[in-house]
Amino acid sequence: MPADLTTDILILGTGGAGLMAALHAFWRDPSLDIILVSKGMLGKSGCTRMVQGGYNVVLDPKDSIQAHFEDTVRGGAFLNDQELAWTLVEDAPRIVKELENRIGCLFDRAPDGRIHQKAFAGQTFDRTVHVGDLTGIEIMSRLRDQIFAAGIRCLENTRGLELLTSADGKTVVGAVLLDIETGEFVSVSSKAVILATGAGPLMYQRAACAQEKAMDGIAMAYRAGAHLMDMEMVQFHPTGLVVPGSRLNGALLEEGLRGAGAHLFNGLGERYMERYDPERKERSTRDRVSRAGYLEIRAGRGTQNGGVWIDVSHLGAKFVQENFEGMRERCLSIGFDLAREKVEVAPTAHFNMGGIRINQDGFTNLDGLFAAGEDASGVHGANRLGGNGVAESTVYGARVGDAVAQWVKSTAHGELRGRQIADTEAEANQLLNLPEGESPWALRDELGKIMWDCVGIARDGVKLKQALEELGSLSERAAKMKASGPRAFNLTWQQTLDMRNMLIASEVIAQSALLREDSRGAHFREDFPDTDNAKWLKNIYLVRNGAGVRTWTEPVKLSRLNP
Amino acid sequence: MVVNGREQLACSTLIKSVGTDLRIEPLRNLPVVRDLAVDLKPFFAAYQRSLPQFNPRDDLNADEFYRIPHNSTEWKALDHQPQCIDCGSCYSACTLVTLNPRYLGPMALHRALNLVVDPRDKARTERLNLVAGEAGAFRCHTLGNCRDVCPKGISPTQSIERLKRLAAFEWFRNLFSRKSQS
Repeated sequence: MPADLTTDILILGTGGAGLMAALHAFWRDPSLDIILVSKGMLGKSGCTRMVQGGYNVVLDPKDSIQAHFEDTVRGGAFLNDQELAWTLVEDAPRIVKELENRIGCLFDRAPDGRIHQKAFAGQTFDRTVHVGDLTGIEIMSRLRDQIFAAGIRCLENTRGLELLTSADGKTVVGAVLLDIETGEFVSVSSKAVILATGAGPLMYQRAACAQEKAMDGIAMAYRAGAHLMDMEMVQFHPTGLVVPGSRLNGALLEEGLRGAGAHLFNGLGERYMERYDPERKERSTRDRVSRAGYLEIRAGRGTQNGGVWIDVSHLGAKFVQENFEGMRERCLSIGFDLAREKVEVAPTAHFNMGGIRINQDGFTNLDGLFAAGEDASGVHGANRLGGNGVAESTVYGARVGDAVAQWVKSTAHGELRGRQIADTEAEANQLLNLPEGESPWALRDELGKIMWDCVGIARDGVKLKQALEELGSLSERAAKMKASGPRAFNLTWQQTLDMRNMLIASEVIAQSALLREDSRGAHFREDFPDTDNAKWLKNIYLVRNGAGVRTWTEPVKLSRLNP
Repeated sequence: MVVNGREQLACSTLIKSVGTDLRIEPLRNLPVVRDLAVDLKPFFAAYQRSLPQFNPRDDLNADEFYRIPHNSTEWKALDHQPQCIDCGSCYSACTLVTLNPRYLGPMALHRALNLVVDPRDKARTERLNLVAGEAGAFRCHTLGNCRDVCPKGISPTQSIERLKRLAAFEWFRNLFSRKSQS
C-alpha cells in the first residue's frame, strides 16, 4: 500500500521534546529523512513555549546530582522510575549547556556575569536556570531557529490522527495525519514514530495548557496497544488565575512566586499552608499546595469566585516588577497589580506525570514507537517538581533523537495496511457533517465538570465509579457529535477528534485512580488518605484489550534510594 | 487580528479597551486562509532569510556559560527589550512590507539585532551584510507602526536604527582597512 509520504523518522509534536529529538537525529546523521508534525505552527504551539519558571539543573559545585535526584524522587513520592529520574538529573547539565552554547539560548546572568540559578519550590538547592519569567519562549525560539537552519521538514497545522501498525500489532509502521488547513488526510510510512505531543490534561474544567492539547499522543498510543503507566497521576498547579469568563482563566502564576516567598491566604485571610505543611508552608510541593487550596475552597473558606489569594507585595514592588514582569503584566490586563496587591488564584489541571511507558532512550513496548516529554511516564513519579518539566522534554528529546537515529540504520520500512488507513479516515469523516448530533463544545464542558468533580484533586471510590459510568455514557453521545461546515480549517471538527482522545484518556485516568487505594503525590483518595508503602509502592499499568482494558501492577524498583 | 484598524492580540484584548463598535479583520500583508485565519508562513519565511540561527564562536567553551557581567560593555550592548512572541502584528502594520514583500520586516530585523550584539555568536559580519542589503534595514523609513502595535512594548524601530548604525560603521571600517592595505 503506497503511502503519501515516506520518511525515516516521523516526529509527532514540536515542543521541547520533539524539536530536540529532530535536531539530535539530524546532527547524528544529516542524511536521515525526518518529518516533524505540528498541530499548530512550528515554534508557536505547545506548552514548552509557555514555560515561565525555568530549568532545574546541577551546575554549582555546592550542589550535587544526588541532591537533585533525591529532590525529584521524594517529590515524586517514590513512584518514579529511579533510573529515568537519575538519567534526567545526570543529563541535564550537558543539555542545558547545549541549549546555551550550541542552540543559542541566552539564560539570565547574575550581576557578576555567571549563570543565574533561582529558588524553586520543593528543592533543597537553588538550581533553576531561567530567562526572566518567560524561559519557554527563549528555548522554543532558539530551537525553532535551529530547525529552520537544519532544513528539517515540518508539516504545520497538521495533527497525528492514528498510528499505523503491522498486522500482528507489534510494530508501528507509520501514521495517518490530518492537515487541519485543508482537511485532507496524509498517510506516512516511517521506520520510527516518536510521540512528543505533550499529553495535556485539558479535559478538566480548570486547565492551564496550550489549547490545542487533547491527550492526542496518549490516546493514539493506547489505541495502538502501547503500555501506559501511572495515568492516575495528574498534576494540579496550585496557582492558576481566577478570571471567570476570560481566556486567561487558569493561566498560571509560576512556581517562582512561591520560591521567592509568596504567601497564600484563604477567603478568611488565614495563611492556611501553616496547617498543611508547617515546615515548608508555601514552598511545599505542588501536590500539597494544590490540595490545600482545594480543600480550603471546598470547606467554604475560599473567595467569592471559588479561589484563594496569592500575595507577593511584601517582597517589594520593585522586586516583583523586575523579576516577574511577564506575570505582572498578565495580572494588570485583568485589573490586578501583582507588585502591590493580592491576586485571586485556584488549583488548575496542568500536567500528566503518567503516560506511555518508556526506557531511558524512549523505547516503548511496540517496535518502532518511541515517546518523550509529557507523553511519556516514569520520570516524575507521583508528582513533578516545577522546573523539571522542560528539563525532561529537552533531555529525553535529545536521547530519543540520538537513539532513533542509530536504531533506524538497521530497520526497514514496514508495510502499511490499506484497510487500517481507510478505517481511520472513515471514522474521522463520520464526525463531520452528521445530519444531527450534539455539539462537541457542549460535551467538552460536561467532560470538564465530571473530571473536575470526580477525578480531580480529592477522589474517592464512589465518585470514581460514578465518573466511569458518566464517561461511558458521554462516550456514547460523543460517537454522534456534530460538526458542520467545510473540511478546511474546521475547528469544530477538530474538537470532535480532540474529544475522542480526551475521553479515552479520561477513562484510563479514572480506572487507574480507582485501582490505586492509597494517596501518593498528586493522587489523593479521601477513602484511603495515607501513603501505603507496604502495599502501594507499585506502578499501575494499562493496555488496550479489545474494547476493554487490561490493568496490572509492578513494584517500583528502588535501585538507588529507599523511602 | 486587526481590530478597528489596529493590530491587537485578540486573545488578550479587553473589549472595554476597544469599545463595542467592532470591526475585526485578519492581519495584513499575509494571505488569508479562511475567515480571520492568515497564513504566517511568509512572515517566518522572511525571518528565515535573515540568518536567524545562533552560530557559536569557535572559541566558545561548550562546558561553561559565557560570562557577561552586568557592568560590561557586552552586557550593555545586549538588547534588553522584552521578548518577541512572533505574533506578526509588526509585520502586518508595516507599510514597507506592504510596498515591498521581499523586505525582511520588523521582527526579522529586531531578532537579527539580538544576534548581532550577542557576544557568543560568530556570524556578526555575515548577518550585518545581509541586513545592510537590498531587503534589509535600510528599507525601513522609521514610520514606527511596528513600535505602535507591538503587544510586548518592543520597538523594532529602535533595533533597526541600531542595525543601520552598526552596518554603516562596519562599512566604514572595511573601507578604511582596505585603504590601509593598498
